[in-house]
Amino acid sequence: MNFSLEVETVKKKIKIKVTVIGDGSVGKTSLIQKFTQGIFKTDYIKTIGAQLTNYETEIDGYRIELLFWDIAGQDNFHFLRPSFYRSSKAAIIVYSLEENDLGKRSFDHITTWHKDVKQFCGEIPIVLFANKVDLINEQSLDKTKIQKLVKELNFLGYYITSAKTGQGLDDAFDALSEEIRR
Amino acid sequence: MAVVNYPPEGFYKNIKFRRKDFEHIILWTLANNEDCQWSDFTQEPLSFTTSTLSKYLNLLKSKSFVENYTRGHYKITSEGRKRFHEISSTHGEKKKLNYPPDVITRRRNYEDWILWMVYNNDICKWSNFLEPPLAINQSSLSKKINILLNKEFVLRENKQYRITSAGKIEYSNMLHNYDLDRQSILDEESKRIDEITRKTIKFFDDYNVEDENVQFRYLATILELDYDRVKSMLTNETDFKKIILYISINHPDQFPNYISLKEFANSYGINQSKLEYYIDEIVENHIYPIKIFTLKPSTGITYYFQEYGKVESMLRTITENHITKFTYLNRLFSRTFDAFTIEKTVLEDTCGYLFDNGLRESLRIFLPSYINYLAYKFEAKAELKETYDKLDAIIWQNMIDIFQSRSPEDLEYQFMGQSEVNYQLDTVLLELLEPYYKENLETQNKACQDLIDDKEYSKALESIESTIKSYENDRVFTIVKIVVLCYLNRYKDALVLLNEELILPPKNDRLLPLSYFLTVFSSLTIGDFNRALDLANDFIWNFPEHALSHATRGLALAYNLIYKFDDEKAKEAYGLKDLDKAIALEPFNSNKALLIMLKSRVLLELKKYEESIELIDKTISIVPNKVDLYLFKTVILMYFNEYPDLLDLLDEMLEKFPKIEKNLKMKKASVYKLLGDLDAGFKVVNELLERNPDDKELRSFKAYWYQYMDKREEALKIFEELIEIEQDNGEYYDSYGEILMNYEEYEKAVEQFQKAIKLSSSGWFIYQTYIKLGICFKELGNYELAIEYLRKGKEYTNKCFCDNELKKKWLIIADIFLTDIESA
Repeated sequence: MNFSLEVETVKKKIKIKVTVIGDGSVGKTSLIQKFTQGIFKTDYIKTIGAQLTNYETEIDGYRIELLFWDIAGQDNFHFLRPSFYRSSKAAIIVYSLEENDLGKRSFDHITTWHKDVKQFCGEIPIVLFANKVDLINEQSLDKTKIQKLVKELNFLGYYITSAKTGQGLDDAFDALSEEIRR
Repeated sequence: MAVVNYPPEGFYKNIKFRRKDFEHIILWTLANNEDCQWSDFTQEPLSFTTSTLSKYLNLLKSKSFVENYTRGHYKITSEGRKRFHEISSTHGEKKKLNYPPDVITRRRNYEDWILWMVYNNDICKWSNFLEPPLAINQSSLSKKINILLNKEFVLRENKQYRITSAGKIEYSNMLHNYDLDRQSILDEESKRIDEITRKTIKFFDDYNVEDENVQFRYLATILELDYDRVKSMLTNETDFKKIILYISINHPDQFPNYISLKEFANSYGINQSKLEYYIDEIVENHIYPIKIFTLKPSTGITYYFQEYGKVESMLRTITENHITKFTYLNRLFSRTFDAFTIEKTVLEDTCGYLFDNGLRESLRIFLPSYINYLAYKFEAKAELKETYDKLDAIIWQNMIDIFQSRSPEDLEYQFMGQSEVNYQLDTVLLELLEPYYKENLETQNKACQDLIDDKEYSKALESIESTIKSYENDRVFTIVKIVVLCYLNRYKDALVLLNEELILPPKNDRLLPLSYFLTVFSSLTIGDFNRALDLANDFIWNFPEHALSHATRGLALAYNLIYKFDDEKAKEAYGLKDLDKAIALEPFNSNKALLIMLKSRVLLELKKYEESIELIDKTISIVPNKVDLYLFKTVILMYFNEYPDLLDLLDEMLEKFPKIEKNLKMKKASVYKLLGDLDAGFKVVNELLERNPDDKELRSFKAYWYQYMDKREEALKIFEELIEIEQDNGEYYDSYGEILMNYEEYEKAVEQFQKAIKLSSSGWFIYQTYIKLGICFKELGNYELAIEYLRKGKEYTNKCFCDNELKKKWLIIADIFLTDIESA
C-alpha cells in the first residue's frame, strides 16, 4: 500500500451536511434510500425524530461524503430546529405530487420549510423535489405553478422525482453535488 | 454447634476398666460438656455397651451425681462435680502431660503453646505452663491466658483450664501456621469433623432430615459455626441446630419450595421469635465470621446461600468474568462503565441455570450490593505484587463508585421503571381480567372498583389493601391488588406477589389464569420475553380452551413484534392466530373488543393501514362507548398522517366523551399545527383556557403555541409566571429551557435544565431534560459534557415507562447528536 497516496486521498475527503425536509409521508426517507442504497419499500414507515444517512461520491478527484439529515416532518421538536439545521451546506425540500389533500398540503407548506432553511442556514443552495411522479400522469402535470415558486424563492432548481422508479434522482443529486463542489 | 469434649485417649484406651474408671469417664464427660446424650457414650470414641452404660448411669443417678433431666439427656449435679474432682485428683497424680512439639515451641507464641496444651491434655493447671519444659513467665502467662479466656477459646474452672469448642476450631487454624506435616493437620481436622458428624447424624434422625442437599448444606454450615459463641444466650443446643437447619433448607436451589418461619417453628418445636432473632444475628449482624447472602423474592420469603458455597462460588465466577470483560472492552473502546449492562449480562447467564427464573427480580435487586461486596474484598486485598493482583485491583477499583452511585437517585427513578429497560404495554388490556373479579370486588368493595374505573389507582391500592385484611383467604383481592400495581407501573411488586400466586394454587384453580396473564404482562414490561412466552405456552397447555390463555400468548407475541425482544421470533409469529382463537373463545363482548383492538395494533405495526382501521372500526361497533378504542383509532390516523379524518374523529369524540374535552381539544390543536394552521390551533387553545384560566397544563400548552408563532417574550412570560406559582416544579424549568433552546440561548437553557434536574430528579420528563442538556453542551462546544448527558439521557429513556414511539424518538435524537459529535 502506498501510504502517501492514502494520506493524499484522505486529505481530499469533504463532509457535507444536507438537510432534507418536507411534510410527513411525502417520501423523504424513500428518496434518500433509493439514491444511496437503490432500494424502495412500499410500506410506509414513518421516520421517528430524524435519520442520518451518509453517501460517498467523487467529484473532480475530491471524495465527498454527503450526510443527509432526514428530519421527520411531523415531529414536535420545534426547539431542535436550530440544532438540526446547523452547518447544513445544502437543503432539499420535498413535496408530493399526489392529487389529494396530502399532496396539496405539502405543496402549500413549501414556503414554511423554505423560511426555516433561510432562518437557520442563511444563503445555502436549496433544491425542490416534486416526488411521487409515478402516482400521477406526468403529461397532465402543470409545471407553471412549480416554476413560479422556484423562481420566487430562488431555488437552485426543481426535479420531478420518483423514489419508486428512481426517476430524476441521479440528475437531482448530481446537480446538488456539483453546486456543493462550487 | 459444640462438639463433645471427651477425656484424653489415655483414659479409655488400652486399659482394663474398673468401676472407678467407668465412673470417672462418665463424670469427666458430663463435667466437660453442658449436657450429654446417651449416644455420646455409646458411639466412638468411648463405645460403651448399652448394658455397661445403663449400669453406671443408674449407679451415678442413684447417688445423685447425675441428673437425667429429659429423656436421653444427662447433666452432672454439684454432688457429681465434687465426686469428679475427687477421682480426678487421684488420677491427676499419675497423669503424664503432653507437651507441644519443637516446631511449635521454636516460636515463642505463648497463645499457641497454651492452646496446644489444653487441646492435647484434657485439663491443665496454671503450674503446668509455668514449669519446665514450657516455663512461661508469670506476666506473659497471665496476659496470654486472659486473651484466650476473652476469646472464649479456653475455659477456667476450679483453677484448671480446658479447651472450648471455639478453641478447638482455633487450634485447627493455628496448626496451619506451623510446618507440621500435612497428615497431622488432616488428622486433627478429621477428629473434629468426626465428632460433629456423629452428633449431626443423630440430629438428622431425630428430625427426619433426609434431603441430601439439605444435609450437606447443614453440615457445611455447622462445621464453621461453633455453638459456644451463642451458648450464653441460647442455652438449648438443639435449638441452635434447628436454626442452622432452617437456613440450610431455605436455599435458592429449593425455589419455589419454601418453609416459613411460622411453619418451621411449629414443625420443629422452636419458638418463632427465637428462630427469627438468631437468624438475624447470624445473617445480618454477623456474629460469626462467615457470610450468608439472602435473596428475597417476595415479602416474608428469604432464601439463604453461603459465601464459597456452590451457588455463591459460581455466581462470583460469572460476575467476575463479566466485570473483567467489560473493563477490558471499555478500555479498548474508551467507553464508560455501565452498571446496568453488567447486571443484565450476569442475570442472563445465571437465571434459568444457577437460579430459577422466579428469583430473577430478587437477584437483580441483590446484585449491586453483591458486586460492591466483591469490590471491597478486592480493594482490601493488601499487596499488589503480582501482575494478576494489579490487574484485579484495576478491574475492581471503580466498581464501588459505580454501584454505590446508583443508589438513591436510581432507585427512586426505578420506581418509574424498575428495570434497566422498561417497555410500556397498553394497560387498557388489563381490563381483560375485569369480568373474572369485578363481581367479587363490587360485592365487597364497590368503592375500589369505582376508583379503578376513575383511574385513581393510588387510592384504589389503599382501598384494596384494607379489603385484603378483612378477607385474608380470598385470593381474588390479591389479584385485584396486582392489577392495580400494574396500573401504577409497579411491576416489580406485582411480580413478587405473582410468584406466590403461581406457586401455590392447584392446576385447576380459577384464579390461576389471571395470575398467568398478569405474570406474562409484567414480565414483558421488564423485557423478559422468554419467561413471558414460556409461561404463555404453559398457560395454553393447562387451559387449552380458555380465551385468556390464547390472548396471553397473542399478547406476548404482539409485543415482541413491537419491541423486538427476540428478532427471529418477531419475524415468524405476530400472535395473530392466537388472538383470533382468543376472540373466537371469548365469552365477554368487552373482552372481544379489547382483543380486536390488540389485533389492530399488530396490523398497525405491520403497516397495514386499511386492515388496522377496519378492525378498530369493528371494535368500536361492538363496544361503542369505550373511549380507549377511539383513542387508539386516533393513533392509527396520526401515524398515517390522515389529519382531516382525525379532526372529524376528534369532533365525534368531543360529542361522545365530553368528560375528556380538554385532552381531545389539545389533540385537535396539535393536528391543526400539523396541518400548518397555527391560528386555528391557537384559537382552540385560547377557547380552552378561557374556560379554565387556572389550568396550569393549558397555560403551559399556550406558551408552546407562542413559541410556534415565534413570540419569544410571551412564551417565556407564561413559564416565568408558572415558576413563580410553583417554584419547586422542575417541569416548568425544563419547558423554560426548551423555549430558550429554540432561540439558541444555550447557556441560559443549561441553567434551567440543571435546575429542573435538581428539583425533579425523578420526574417523568427528566430523561428528555438530560438529552436537551447534552444538545445544549454540544452547541456550546463542550463535547465531553454533551456526550455524558446524551448517554445519561439515553439510559434514563430506556428505563422510563412511556409511549414506545416517544421513547424511540428521544433515543434517536440522542443518537443523532452523539453521531454528529463523534463524526465532527
